[in-house]
Amino acid sequence: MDLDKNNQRQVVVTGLGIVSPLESGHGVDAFWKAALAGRNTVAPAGIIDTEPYVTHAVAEIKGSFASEAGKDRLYERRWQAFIEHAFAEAVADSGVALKAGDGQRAGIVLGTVLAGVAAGEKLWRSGGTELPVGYRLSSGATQLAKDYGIKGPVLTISNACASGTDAIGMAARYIVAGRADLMIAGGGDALSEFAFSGFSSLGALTKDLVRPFDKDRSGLALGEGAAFLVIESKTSAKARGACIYAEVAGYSSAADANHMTGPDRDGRGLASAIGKALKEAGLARVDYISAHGTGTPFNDQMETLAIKTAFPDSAFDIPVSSIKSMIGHSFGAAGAIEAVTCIKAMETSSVPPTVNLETDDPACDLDYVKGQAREVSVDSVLSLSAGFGGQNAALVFTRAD
Amino acid sequence: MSIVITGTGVVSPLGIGKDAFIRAFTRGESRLTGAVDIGARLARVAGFDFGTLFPDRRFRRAAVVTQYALVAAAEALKDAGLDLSTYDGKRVGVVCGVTHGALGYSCDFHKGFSTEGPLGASPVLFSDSVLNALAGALSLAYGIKGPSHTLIGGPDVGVQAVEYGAELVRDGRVDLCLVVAGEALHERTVEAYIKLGIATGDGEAMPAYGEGAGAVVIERDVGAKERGITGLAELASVATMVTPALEDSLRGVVEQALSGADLSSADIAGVMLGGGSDDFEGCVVGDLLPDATRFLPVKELVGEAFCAGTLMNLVVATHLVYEGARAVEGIGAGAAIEGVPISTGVDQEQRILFLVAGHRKEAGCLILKRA
Repeated sequence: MDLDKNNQRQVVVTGLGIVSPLESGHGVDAFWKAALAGRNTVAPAGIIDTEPYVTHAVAEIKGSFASEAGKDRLYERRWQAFIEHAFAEAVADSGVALKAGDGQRAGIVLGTVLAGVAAGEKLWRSGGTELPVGYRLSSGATQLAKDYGIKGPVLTISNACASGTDAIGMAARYIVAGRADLMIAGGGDALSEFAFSGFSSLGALTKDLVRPFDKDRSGLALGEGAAFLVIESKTSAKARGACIYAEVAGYSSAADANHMTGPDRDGRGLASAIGKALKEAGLARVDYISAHGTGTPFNDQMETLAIKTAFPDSAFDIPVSSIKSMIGHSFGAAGAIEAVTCIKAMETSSVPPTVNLETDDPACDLDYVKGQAREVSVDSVLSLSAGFGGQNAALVFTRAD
Repeated sequence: MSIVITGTGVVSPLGIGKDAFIRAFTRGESRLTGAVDIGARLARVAGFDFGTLFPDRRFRRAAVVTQYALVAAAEALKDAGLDLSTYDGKRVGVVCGVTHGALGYSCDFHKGFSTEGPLGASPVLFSDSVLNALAGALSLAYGIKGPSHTLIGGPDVGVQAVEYGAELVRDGRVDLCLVVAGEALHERTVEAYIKLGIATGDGEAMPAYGEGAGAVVIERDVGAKERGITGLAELASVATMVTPALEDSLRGVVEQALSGADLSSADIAGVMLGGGSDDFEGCVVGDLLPDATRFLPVKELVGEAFCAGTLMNLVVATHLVYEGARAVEGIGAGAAIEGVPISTGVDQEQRILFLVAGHRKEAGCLILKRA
């Protein structure tokens, strides 16, 4: 059995799948090429009517995948189309034969925040009693388990905007604990009027571009999508002869216990999560940080403070970027999409830019990757997420031996 | 290392607080009302005065389901002899099981923006309708700064929440974990589930739905002993599974749980079923554990309360294991599944298997034994 520094089962990533506004439906490599190119997908909304609102921009899934999904899927089933597509891509990429028996010791953790809410909108609008398919958030993971013959743990988690990150971390824990040999973990969410109206009511949406860590940042734009990682015990991956992308080296979740919607202003909860994840990974620093970086004034400042607290000796030397300026904030999917980003950064030795970051903010004074992608040797990465309810999550990936 | 339940709490139609709840349960007192206009029987939590039960005014506008969870958690912590204000919050975790969350707030929020536009969209309703609002409120109320997770699903998710909470404790990430599940009745869910035919199966045609919350405190036995606390029950093993056939899922989790606890079917003295409407649970148990005493699922008295009902069942199962024969003798004839005699076997073996079926062919199983 392959064991890590803590004498626990080593967990590795062997498959990736993604649907995002960047080259949606064309796979991880197309997504990554567009991300490194710094392509912005935030634009006036088409799928929801934003006319009554003062903000209008979202990052929407369009193109060939959207029309394929639109043909057969109603508005309320978009999130299921996203997760089905990303899941299938990840499974195919890993080469695991779930339906041929590998599903016996496999499981799923799906993170989502408002997955079924578009279906709920239909119910509430109609005043009827017909429960739409997909209304229950757990239906997505359960259906995937049945479709792929997965017999291990099947969980749906909703840890607000940290859901995607927590899904991957929890799945790794199930493997470490011996409850499964392989897990497919990630997140998915779709745009809805409910979500748009909700974030609008909180004053969280920007009328400008999304500008993480910029002095003039004014809020986030909502996005959508899904991403999954196939993770498994290193022993299992080696036995299958699978391609190993990275090791899941550390993970932690920590609550702020401070406020229901806003983050702890000093980033204490996030710093705690980072510290525990680093300790688990046996690292004092990392080579790249994929920030939560929503573009809201409080988040970005809090996150900067958290990184400084967690890396007292190296915070200013670590490249940091947020891809949310390109693809918006896809809530439950965000952490999973950013996990894919981290792994591709390690694979290609390149980190994506934080587009629209133009004016330095004295309160956000780390080494943010501005303007264009940067080539950098990446052997370890940290992915950060935070959300309502004081949720914080940190994931560390390292290059596999 | 043993993982034990050291405290339980409940808010239910059978009563607010464990004593009232267990008393009504042992008497087999149904709280289900008669037929109502929508064609279902309902069991509501009566006499719930949140301001009195939970004086912290920060949560006075929280959704009812969150308030139920806060009150149940308060009792469980008290039962476990814990004052978290004196505890290192980073060493405490919270795992919540949620089926619908604050659906009433979701509906009201939707109604607001769809009828009045952006000005009708309430930020309070929106933020409290998010499914992790229970976990967030519990974290905020008790200064919990360790892992915080919200698991979503049907009745089986209560078992998943216990399973994950136990895992957090077992691997040393936290010293103790609060596991809570809540459900509040809402006309939309009732209407929709009637349409889907998801209801209870107490032998009557009309479906029945309930609400409330259940909470347990989980910790290592050594940690509890250091605090001078005796565990109410040991969590011997947990298993969850979903397969294309519910019966396969149920068999699978029973076999996994027995194997995980290194027990055989003969070691199981009593069984609590979740009360699934098709009685697959009963069939599987009848086949695999024919000699075990079967206890009445809470669902028979309060209707389908989804994952909150599962935690209520767990509160009962914990009580049965802790009290043994004393509790069994107190159970009236109406509190046993018809045709299966009550025995005092629980006191001899003190092991209870607790089986739950989900609505989408998921299953969960817990085995408790005397701590």
